[in-house]
Amino acid sequence: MQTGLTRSLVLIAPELIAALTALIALMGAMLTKRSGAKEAFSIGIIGMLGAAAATVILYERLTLNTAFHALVTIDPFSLFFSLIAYVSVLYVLLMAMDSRELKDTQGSWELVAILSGFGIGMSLMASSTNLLMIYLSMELLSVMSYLLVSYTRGARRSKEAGLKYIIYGSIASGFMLYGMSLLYGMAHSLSLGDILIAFINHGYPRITVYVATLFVLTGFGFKIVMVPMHMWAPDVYEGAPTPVTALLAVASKAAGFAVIMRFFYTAYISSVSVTHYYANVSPIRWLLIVAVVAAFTMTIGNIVAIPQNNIKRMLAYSSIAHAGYMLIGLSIVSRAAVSAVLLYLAVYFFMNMGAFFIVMIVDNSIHSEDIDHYSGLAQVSPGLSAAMTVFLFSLTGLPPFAGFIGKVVVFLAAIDKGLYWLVIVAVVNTVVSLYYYARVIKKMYLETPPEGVQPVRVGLVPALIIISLLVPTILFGVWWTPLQSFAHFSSFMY
Amino acid sequence: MAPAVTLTDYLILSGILFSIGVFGVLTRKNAIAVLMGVELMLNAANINLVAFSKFTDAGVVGQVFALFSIVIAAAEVAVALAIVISIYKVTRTIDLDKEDTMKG
Repeated sequence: MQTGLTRSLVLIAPELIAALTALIALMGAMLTKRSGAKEAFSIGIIGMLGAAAATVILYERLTLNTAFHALVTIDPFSLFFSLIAYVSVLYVLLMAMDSRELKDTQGSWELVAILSGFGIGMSLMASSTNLLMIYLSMELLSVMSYLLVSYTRGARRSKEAGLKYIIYGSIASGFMLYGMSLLYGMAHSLSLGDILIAFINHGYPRITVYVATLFVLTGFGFKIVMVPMHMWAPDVYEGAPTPVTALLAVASKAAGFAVIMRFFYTAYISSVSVTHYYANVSPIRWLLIVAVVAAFTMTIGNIVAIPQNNIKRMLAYSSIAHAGYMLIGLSIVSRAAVSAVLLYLAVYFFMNMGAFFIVMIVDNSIHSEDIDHYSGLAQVSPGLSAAMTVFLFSLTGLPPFAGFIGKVVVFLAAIDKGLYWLVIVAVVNTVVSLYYYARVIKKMYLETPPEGVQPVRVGLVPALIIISLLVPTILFGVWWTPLQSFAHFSSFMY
Repeated sequence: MAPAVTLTDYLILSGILFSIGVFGVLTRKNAIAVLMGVELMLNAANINLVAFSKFTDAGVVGQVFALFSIVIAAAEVAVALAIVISIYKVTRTIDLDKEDTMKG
């Protein structure tokens, strides 16, 4: 099996590069006696660029591939999420270099190691086709997130967020593990493919399948911030250092959607690949449950976002609402739905990462995350305010920005399957969300700044990073064909 | 002669253990006690995995899974205790009801 092992190792080359980065960073931490933040970040950035490049190379010359005795499957779907993983970690590293909150922690080497581990965990989550691998990669991602949230030394808010996160998170993973043990007992196998075959061949009691599925869904739903597992999100998003909040809002959520789609499309849905005909083979109506949960998720997220005064907390509730929109794509089964969710996630990456980046830069300068302190920002820093406006309008889903395309594609997939009521709920929710996004824009443009306020200083590198997020947000809003065909090709799951 | 222990007995045991864990998690205010409740939930799942592995034709993967989950639980508890200690240094309490500086 020598050749099989070599082939498997080639297939996980991006993860190996990220693991190497983590090891170098850990050695750096020991050898340099906690100095050399610059070197640490350079190694992290090079490592993530390497991992992302390896992912792109694998994507281009890919055939059907399972690795390590079918524990992981490397396909366009998993590589799409690997790419999101490494690129988001890259952006978070760039953010962390400028962050006021992470500056005095002195543990830059460890930060790079933990972030690399996060990237590996997320990438493996998307490619796992075995319950054991799903559990292991998800726990890798979770433990790294707990550490990152409580990373700021001495700040009480960050510690409190970390404690809340790990307690909610371990409860969710306890439920998930119990659900997995029941699935194992039913199917007599941990492989998702075997679970599908077992569902087709046996008539399991409905109540057992409901309990197992809902328990597993609890664990996954925690990651994507699905109601009713959303209670942790506002506190954790507010308390965590802003770069980490951006990582949780973008990468952690994408990882949750990756694993949830892989799980249901491999174990619960049989597909005839020639005709693209998909059918739910489990004895339960989980699609209806997901649809109802989607409606609740977006409604609660949007309504509670309205009275928020802290901008990170407001963006946390908005990210709950966005999880609701993406869940629409999960409550229907079709190729179009999968590719719609992937497109939405790609767009969401650009606009949400951009919004959090600007929140961090403003916080560095005025030491506040209150929406009230954004008053008159447009008069002192017009460029930054214009960029923030684009990101917020895109998050609302207004044309001609990318967020609009993301929403339209998801809604069209749902209309195609006749899920009209859910689309109506989502459209009403979009209108509600305009209120709280526009409130920030109104503060920035229509109110006068307080006396003696200094313009927000933006260095050359942060400005370039913002532009690199701003251009796709506008460009994909008017010319989305390349992104759409990329998402469509990436929706192949084997 | 006492009747043999069957798969059902193990499943009932794990169900009871899981319920006790959930009850502890929901009612306890002490962070350490909540973590102990979580530990009961994880071990209930481990009993399930090992029992299914022994009494059915499911092979040893269930036992392998249980081993992995024990290791993961240990790692998770290590991180959780580190966070609890660091928050205790700042606030001098591990009562979850008193950790409420963020509201909204």
